[in-house]
Amino acid sequence: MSNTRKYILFFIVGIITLIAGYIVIYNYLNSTDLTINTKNISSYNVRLSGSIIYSSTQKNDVMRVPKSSHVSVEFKGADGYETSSREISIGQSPKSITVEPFYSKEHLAALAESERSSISKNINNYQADISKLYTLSDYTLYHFGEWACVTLEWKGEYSQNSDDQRVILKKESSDWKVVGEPSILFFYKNYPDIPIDILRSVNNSSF
Amino acid sequence: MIQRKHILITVAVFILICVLYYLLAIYPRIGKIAVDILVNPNDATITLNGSRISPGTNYLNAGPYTLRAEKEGWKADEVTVSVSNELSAVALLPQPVSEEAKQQAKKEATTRGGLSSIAANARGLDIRSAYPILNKLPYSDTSGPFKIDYGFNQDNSKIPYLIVSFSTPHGRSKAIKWLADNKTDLTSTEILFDEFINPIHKEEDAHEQY
Repeated sequence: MSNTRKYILFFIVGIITLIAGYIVIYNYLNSTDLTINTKNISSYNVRLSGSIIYSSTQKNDVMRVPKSSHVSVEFKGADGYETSSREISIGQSPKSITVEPFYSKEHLAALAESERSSISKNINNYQADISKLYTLSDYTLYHFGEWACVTLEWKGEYSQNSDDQRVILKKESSDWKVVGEPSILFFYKNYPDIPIDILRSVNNSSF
Repeated sequence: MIQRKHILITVAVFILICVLYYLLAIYPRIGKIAVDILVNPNDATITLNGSRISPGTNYLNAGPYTLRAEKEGWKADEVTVSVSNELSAVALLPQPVSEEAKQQAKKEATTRGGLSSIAANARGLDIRSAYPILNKLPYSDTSGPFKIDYGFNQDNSKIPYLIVSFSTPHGRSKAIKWLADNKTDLTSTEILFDEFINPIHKEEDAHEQY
């Protein structure tokens, strides 16, 4: 091989190394550590802009993710736990999160049956008129069974205010308490103590 | 032979310059959107999500950002924008508080006037991108029946509320369905029902029910 060819080859290899090195260093400097600890999860994927960037079955993992980005952790829950996802905002510094799924819908439905009479009793204690005007239905529990929503179905004749409504309760020291008074829709700013995913689920069940 | 060597060296240097230009100027901008960030006074400190940046063209990933401009003697200006292809410029205009600042603002009144229209445009785009349903309102459905319109709270003119009126229980139910079908977040948007008086609540609260 002539010297000229050697130089050209070295030059091309040098350029490729420069580009690859720059891209690796640039991406490293523009990313940060994300530590994910899991509980009651059998496996999970981390998605960035729709693409899976990491998959794991481990309980503790550390990965690099771009700074100022939003990633989604999609997980498959263990038996009795939901299969769902969580959105995570990444800032400029390393972040550590624990991902723990709530109970599965089937498990919550079974729990709801056992809590039904206690929930009804507390709704009637909140406002005696409720049982006169409405039929209580669709008992739904959320998270670990500590939140509940019940639909109030109007049982009288159709009138100007005969809308169906919903009421939200929270279980505190084994007793249910009304925390979201009967409403057609729940605006999150009026209920800062109720998790927004529960409000969303309740509102989306209204149509 | 020497001439050939010179040609090769020239080509190599040219390729190297092109590669360096690509790496330093183009690669960091791939997939990002150019946003002109303008400010008056010119020497105000600008932060983007808390990190300091320079005024002028910044290349940002699509998504929400909080921009803030501050300077001693001026009331800081903060705006939350959603960077998208529709947004090309954001203007930040801290308001003068001290006498010195007021004089400077007076001198630069023409510049500030131009920037205020850019600032208003960015805020308008921001509201409409956060609440795309506003582009479809007011909306009426006589078969519902219902009418949906919107307004802005006096204490925070950036957050709209929706009001459902001329409705019955069926109409309100249809209005909620229409809003959901049009991708309205029923939880983060305040929705008022004008004629609904909650039979469960006290009468004085009736018009504030959701």
